[in-house]
Amino acid sequence: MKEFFNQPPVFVEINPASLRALRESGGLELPLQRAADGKLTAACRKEVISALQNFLGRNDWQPRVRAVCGVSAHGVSLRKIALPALAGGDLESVLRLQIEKEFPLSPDELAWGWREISNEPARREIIVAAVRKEVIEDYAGILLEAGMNPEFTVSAFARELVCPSSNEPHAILEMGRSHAELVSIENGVATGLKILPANGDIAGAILKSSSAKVIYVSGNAATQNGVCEKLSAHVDCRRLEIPCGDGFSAATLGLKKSVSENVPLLALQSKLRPANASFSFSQMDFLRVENRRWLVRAAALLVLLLVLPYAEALLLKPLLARKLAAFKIQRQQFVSVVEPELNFLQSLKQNQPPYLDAIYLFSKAAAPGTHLDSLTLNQHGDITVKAAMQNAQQVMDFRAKLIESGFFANITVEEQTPVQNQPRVNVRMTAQWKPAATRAAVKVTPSPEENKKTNSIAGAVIPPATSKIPKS
Amino acid sequence: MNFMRTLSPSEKRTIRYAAILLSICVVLFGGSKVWKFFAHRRADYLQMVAEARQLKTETGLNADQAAVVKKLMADFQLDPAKLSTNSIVADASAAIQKAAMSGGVQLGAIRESAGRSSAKELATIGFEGSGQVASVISLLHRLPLLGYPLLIDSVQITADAMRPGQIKLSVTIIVLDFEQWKKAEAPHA
Repeated sequence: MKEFFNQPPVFVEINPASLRALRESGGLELPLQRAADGKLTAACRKEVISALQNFLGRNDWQPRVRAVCGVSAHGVSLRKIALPALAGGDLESVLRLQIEKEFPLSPDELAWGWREISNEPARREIIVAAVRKEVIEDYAGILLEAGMNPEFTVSAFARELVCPSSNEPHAILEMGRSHAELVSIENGVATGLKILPANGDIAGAILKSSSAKVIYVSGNAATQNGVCEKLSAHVDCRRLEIPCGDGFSAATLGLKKSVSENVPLLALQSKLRPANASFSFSQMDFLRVENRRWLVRAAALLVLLLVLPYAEALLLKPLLARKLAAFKIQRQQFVSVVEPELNFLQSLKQNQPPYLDAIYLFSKAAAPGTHLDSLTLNQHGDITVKAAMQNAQQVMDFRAKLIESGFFANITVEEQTPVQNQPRVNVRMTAQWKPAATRAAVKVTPSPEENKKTNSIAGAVIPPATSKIPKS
Repeated sequence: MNFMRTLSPSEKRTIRYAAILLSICVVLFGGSKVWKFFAHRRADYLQMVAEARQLKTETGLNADQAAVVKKLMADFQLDPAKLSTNSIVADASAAIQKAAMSGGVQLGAIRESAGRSSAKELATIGFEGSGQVASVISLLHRLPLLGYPLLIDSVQITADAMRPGQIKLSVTIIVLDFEQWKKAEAPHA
């Protein structure tokens, strides 16, 4: 899925007469037709764009494909610039000044890049490569229209990556049919760049231009004119083995290696790159197909944003209505079963009279020796007690304890009759338990006798247990 | 044949303006109608969504109710839905007698009578018995938990003069009628 959205990069080499593109899936080689001013002809441009689009097979909605491009050394100037040691932040501005001084054009008219050769405490050496901005912008325009996101370097620098690694100074020669590119490498950095005509004594010209003891040769025309043989007589001349096929060249393979091994190459900065360009409406040109397409997409999104809430209502309302109706019926069935059961059980719980609580409190309040004749209770809370106690004081205590419990109200001694010549008082009392909301909860605690018994069994002092009978 | 005279440029312009104006009016009128239609549908839909949300909240309350019912059913060991009106009195009476006997309470007279339907009662069961204090109290505790909707209407405890240490018990129990309860609930459902 990741590869579906982020397609693998394309490696492009642009020469004066051809364009090579290499990708994981294959390669492409296109001839280029140039006008007298060196720019591509309109017909060629159109054909190249179309061929590249077919080669990429990219859909409009997919992101642009990264294109790592190498341009030929034609028109590329290379300068070694020595700078005093500076803070990193100032380097760009100092470099701009130096470019202004060293190059015939201002930095704004150039696509340029730099790489550091050495960084000593007092002195920094930097190599700057620059080419006319129009050259890069022309190529960038084509690649952008083809659906790529291009970044540029010089092909000659990329070729260095396919050479066997060596710290010794060497040169790389790319032999074309009409010209040859010679780049001198020191400490892994290009220090010289030359374009040589393919006709004439090219070997002599190479030997004059480069002092390198090792020269790597690549290109389609490397075997022509016996250049290698002539060079071999003077220097160590080695052939770079490049696989055959469309798109394969020392430059495209070098670019590929730079990406796969994350080796930075000197990048020629072009302001056309959309990835770095900041967006501004004033720069938007709606005559361009690409921009118009984005405008249409934005408008479609806006319309979608406005229409979606209404479309949602229109589409989902019947579905929601159906679901709601089904749910209501289901809920009705549930409620018709659960609600009566709930009310019934709650009523049963609330109306359950607290007989046991009342009996417990009577037993706690009664003094020892009390004889209970009868105890009558009903669910309305009416209580009648007939009992015999030892004296009037016990009757008073009994009533006091019942009042103290907070459970009973309206405790009335209806009749209290002493029995002649006996320490006994017959009592008839009535009471009523308070409503559930107002009566005190009953705490069941063991009697002192029960406590003593428990302690003797356990052999230790145990605090009296307290439990709470819930209100009925 | 063309019977129409040739229109002058100013007439053509007037007609063009009129046509444009007319088109704008038609578009505005039609557009407002279409807009109103869609807005109305959307308002209905939003109302329905609000209703669905309300129902969701109420469903949460229903779930709480169900949990309470479950707990009460466990407390009383009673499932109202399984109660059968035809046999509930017989079953309850049998359960009471079984509980009394197993608890050590000797049963005496047992009376069953029809309950007051106005009070949602199915029947009234009265019985007498005698036994140890602990047995009698235990029976009183177990009566509501026998698995039937029983409500103890009245209790009378008297000392048994003939058998010291024992007490006599006279209890009146109401058997509630769940069917009547359901009928009473139905109009509110």
